[in-house]
Amino acid sequence: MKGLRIVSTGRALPKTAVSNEDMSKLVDTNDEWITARTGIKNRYKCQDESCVSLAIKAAGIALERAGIDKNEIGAVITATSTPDYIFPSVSCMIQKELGLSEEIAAFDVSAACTGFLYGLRIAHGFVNSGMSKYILLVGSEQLSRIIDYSDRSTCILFGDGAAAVIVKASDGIFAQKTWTRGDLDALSCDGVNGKECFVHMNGHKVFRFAVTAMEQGIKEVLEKAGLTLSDIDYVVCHQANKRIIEHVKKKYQEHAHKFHVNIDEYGNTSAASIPIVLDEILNEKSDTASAGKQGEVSIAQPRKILCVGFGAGLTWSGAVLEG
Amino acid sequence: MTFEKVKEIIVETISCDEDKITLDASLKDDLGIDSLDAMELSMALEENFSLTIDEEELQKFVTVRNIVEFLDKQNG
Repeated sequence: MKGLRIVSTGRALPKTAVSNEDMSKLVDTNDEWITARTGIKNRYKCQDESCVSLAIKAAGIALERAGIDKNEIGAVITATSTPDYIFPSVSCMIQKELGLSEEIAAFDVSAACTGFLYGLRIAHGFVNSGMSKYILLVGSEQLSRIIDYSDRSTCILFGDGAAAVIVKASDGIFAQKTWTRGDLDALSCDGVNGKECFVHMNGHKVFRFAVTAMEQGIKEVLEKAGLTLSDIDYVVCHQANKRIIEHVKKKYQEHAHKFHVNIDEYGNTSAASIPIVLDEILNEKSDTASAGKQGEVSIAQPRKILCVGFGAGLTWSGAVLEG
Repeated sequence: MTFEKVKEIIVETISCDEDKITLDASLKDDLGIDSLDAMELSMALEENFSLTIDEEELQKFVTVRNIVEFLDKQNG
């Protein structure tokens, strides 16, 4: 089995930032309460933008940074739960706007906050089989569409945003574990049935599931890869709640510095959260570590990245790849 | 005996001041334990005492004594 390597990344956020103070004008809450329980200070909300426009922007940046012939992109996969249309898919709109080849598969993946990692699994299948050279994988969400802004327990948590990666097969490493446990009680959102379309969450049930899923994801994907955390350069967690990440970090004290946390800035952007973190860490490093242009992932020394996430479904996954 | 173990787990899980942990200390008011801390604490107790604490039971824990008595009853 071939490895999987991130060639480039890009991210796009709406212009409008929404602070905790802004939220406290909508519902009975305050900055202290939100910060203590979630670690969130800010999130972004679409006004003129949308799930599709953010996805196109992020994908365009990743494509430009990759410096590849766009006709070599063999598939577009977008992880989202909040597309502009039931169909056409977000991925089809990306194909159109970026002028990608018509001779590709373009489709969306629905696995809530784990969507990007499920997409990674599919992307690896495409390049590992030799079907495609490059895959454009995007996570894009406009969660503000499905948020009940009168429910203070959920509306403070989520933000809009998108990020994209271009991946290819490599001689390096790829390992992944994915899990599914169908469950309607913990986390759900109705749709396409005339009922109100809002996120419903049992916070306690989700918290308990989340910390267990994260620990299992990290442990079992490392076992599968035959690695330990000492071999890993970055641990990229789905950014749902700082307290969940802190809980998991406690178990891996000596590797705590490898966990990148940006939930304070973005809130929970669901399928976009992991690629947004990837864009942050890979671009920060390539500024200094490589002589390449900004945003281009260093060719000299790929870093080993462990991604781990969980979401509605219930779904969860851990993956090790290089970037 | 159970109290000492519970105290140890609270300090480890919540990182709160050991001296504040008495049998009659209120979890919320004296130890500053919020709902997510309570989840973390119940998971740590479950692991250490090899039992399950359901949501309903968790809501009944007001003081440290409530936890100790619950555990003693379970193990008794």
